Amino acid sequence: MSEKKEIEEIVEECCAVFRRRQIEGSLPCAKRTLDILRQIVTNKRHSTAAALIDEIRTVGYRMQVARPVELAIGNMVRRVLHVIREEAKQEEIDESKPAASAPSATEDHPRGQGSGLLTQAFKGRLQMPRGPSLSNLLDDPQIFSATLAPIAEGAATERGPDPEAESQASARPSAVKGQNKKTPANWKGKHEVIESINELIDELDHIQGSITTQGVEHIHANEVILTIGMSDTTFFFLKEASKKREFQVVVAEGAPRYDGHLMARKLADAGITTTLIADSAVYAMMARANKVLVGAHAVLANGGVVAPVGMHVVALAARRHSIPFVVLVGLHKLSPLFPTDPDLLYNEFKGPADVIDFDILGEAFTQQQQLHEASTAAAHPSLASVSGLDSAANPLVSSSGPLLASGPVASAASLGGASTFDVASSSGLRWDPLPGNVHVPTPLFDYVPPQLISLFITDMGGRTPSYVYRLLTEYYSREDYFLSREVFGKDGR
Amino acid sequence: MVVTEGFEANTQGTLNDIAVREFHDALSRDEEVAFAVAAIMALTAVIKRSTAATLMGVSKELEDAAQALQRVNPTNISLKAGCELFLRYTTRTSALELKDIETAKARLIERGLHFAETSTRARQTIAELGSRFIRSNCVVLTHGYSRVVLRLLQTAFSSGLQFSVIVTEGRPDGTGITMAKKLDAENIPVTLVLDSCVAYIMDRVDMVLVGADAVVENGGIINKLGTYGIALAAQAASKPFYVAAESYKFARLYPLGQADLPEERKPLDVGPMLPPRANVINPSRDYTPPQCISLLVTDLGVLTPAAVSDELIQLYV
Repeated sequence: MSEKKEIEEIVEECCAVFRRRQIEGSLPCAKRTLDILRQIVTNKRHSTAAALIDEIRTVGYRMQVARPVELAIGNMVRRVLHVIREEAKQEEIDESKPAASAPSATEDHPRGQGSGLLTQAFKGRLQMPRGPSLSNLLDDPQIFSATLAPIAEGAATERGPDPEAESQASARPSAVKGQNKKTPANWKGKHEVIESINELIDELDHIQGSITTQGVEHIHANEVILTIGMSDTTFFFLKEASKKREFQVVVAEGAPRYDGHLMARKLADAGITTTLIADSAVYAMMARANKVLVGAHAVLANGGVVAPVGMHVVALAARRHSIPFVVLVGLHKLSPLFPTDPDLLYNEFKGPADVIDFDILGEAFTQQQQLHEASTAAAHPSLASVSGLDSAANPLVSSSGPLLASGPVASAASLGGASTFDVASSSGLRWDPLPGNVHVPTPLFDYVPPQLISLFITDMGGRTPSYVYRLLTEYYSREDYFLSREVFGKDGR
Repeated sequence: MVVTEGFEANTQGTLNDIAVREFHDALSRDEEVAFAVAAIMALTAVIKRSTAATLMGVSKELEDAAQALQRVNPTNISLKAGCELFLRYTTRTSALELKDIETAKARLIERGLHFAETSTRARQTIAELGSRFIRSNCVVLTHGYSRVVLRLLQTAFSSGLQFSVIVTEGRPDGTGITMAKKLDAENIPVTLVLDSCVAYIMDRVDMVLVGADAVVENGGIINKLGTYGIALAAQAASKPFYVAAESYKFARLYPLGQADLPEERKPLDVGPMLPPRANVINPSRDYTPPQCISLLVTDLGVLTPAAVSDELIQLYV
């Protein structure tokens, strides 16, 4: 009992950490997620794979919700779920033909050999049917219904309370077994799962390295590479390439965060010829570039990416000049969601401090307030209604909090609430007075559509956006694409 | 020798008749049945009646029957695709591992029957997957009548989404009017426009969603005449163009242009005013190349056009 409580505390603490943004960046978030999941698998008892899947899914959904922009959290949860499902499937195959187990014993445990995930996926495909495909359309009815049904059932549960169908959907692989052998205390596939999670963590540790070593292949002598803002992956990639190649880098500063400044300094320190430009000069400089190399926040199912703000403009400029736009991403950032998915919250808004000085803001506010008071005293209702500001709801407070906009394009309406301040049309400001309300939204991310992207360089090599669908089937099970569905179904929504 | 050959030809003749009859029966029994599915049902019926003692014999009979089916409707690509899928399946299936011919036949029959069920489920899967692409308050443009598209829109609407649909009239057979009627019966707000109105209306459209007669190897589609025009208009306006199609419509064709399609002509009522020397070209479908298509929603998942060839290669190579 205490053991359960402990896990509960750990999960809650982790969620709080995510919520408070004490961990930044997808890689640390992914590692933390895997760590928690490993603890759950190791320390808690689950009699069947289904029970384990259920628990991981619930916890995973909680963690994802704690930090919805960090898609890597959900991705790691899906990967672990996929591993468990595969293990359960394998077990079922083993059980169905115990007589033939002797010759195939070595094949049955491909994960025990410490091979990479890719080899596993490859081996896995040889033995087990991968997701639904034309070639198994007519195959064993069970394979097909097992892969297809959960989606339909999951959707059904979303609409009407039908928790039984949902639990059956996830329980299918081993429900029968669970009934037959009365609870062997702990599901025996766990060791394999834990091992796989360890491998995943290991893989995350080496992700940067496996991307950067490809630098030499993609950068040629005397090239001009354009990048925007600061990205560790991009920096190490360029640094690695500079050991063998001579090339120039043009860095756009990446307003409003200006992390391009840091990037330029680091590159220069590494002995690479570096030019720093303003974001507004990207189009002008693009004519001279040979390649655009950038990092990204997430890769979506259609091959589009979520990347730091300003990226879409760079991509469009690159397209206009027919310059390859190459994105460096680790596959932990691969998300099975589409930009149109209602589940996907991909943008985050920061406070206006990066765009406008708080001093000016503060001044504007005091001015505004004075004016407001004066106007109310003078019974001037028109001005008060125009400014729409009352002292109780100080917009500064709301503007410092994060706001999430849903959908691929943050609508103006949702931006409105993000960070609003009023500038009174009065004299005495250092800054030119503006009439009425001025909104200062500072979104963190852009969405770049797949047709603007030439290539992804991942830890598994180069991939085109049109290949992303294939990576998805390799790493995730279709039942797990939407983490929320079954959870909602459970609540009997 | 001669006698045996004559005898075989005779049985094959009856088998072909059975296939064709079953094909028509399947189609008339239920209007929801697609051509490919009916073809597979017909071929299954052939196996049931087959007297062949080897799998080779069965394949031979099936091939003949498939050809007979295609003679019934030589321009229907989805019928051809269905036949090919099933033939391919019989030659590479695990049924070949079975020693006993009767068990092998039984398995083939079972799979054939199962396919009908799979295909009905396919439409529902597509509807579930595809309805996620519809956002609230968006305007969907569709072309003519498609059962999958209709199901998808119904599913999205019944999940509580508010959206409206613009349907083209779909001349010359006016299938768009059927679509509009069916959508209206579901209380989905629907607007009917002329086929020639597509470019005009494209401004107000958020996404285009069409069905397909066939999906070809490079990920392009063959669909009712006018689809290509809509795709071009959508591309010009940077609107997403989605296709909903069941995977049994994937066909091993590689058209490079409109001229590569098997021709299918339907009578055109242009009236008596036509000058006698004027030519009339009246195709019933066109080919939309993959670069115009954003995504294909299929029962195998949401695919990029590139993924189609991947699926086909896996099956046929």
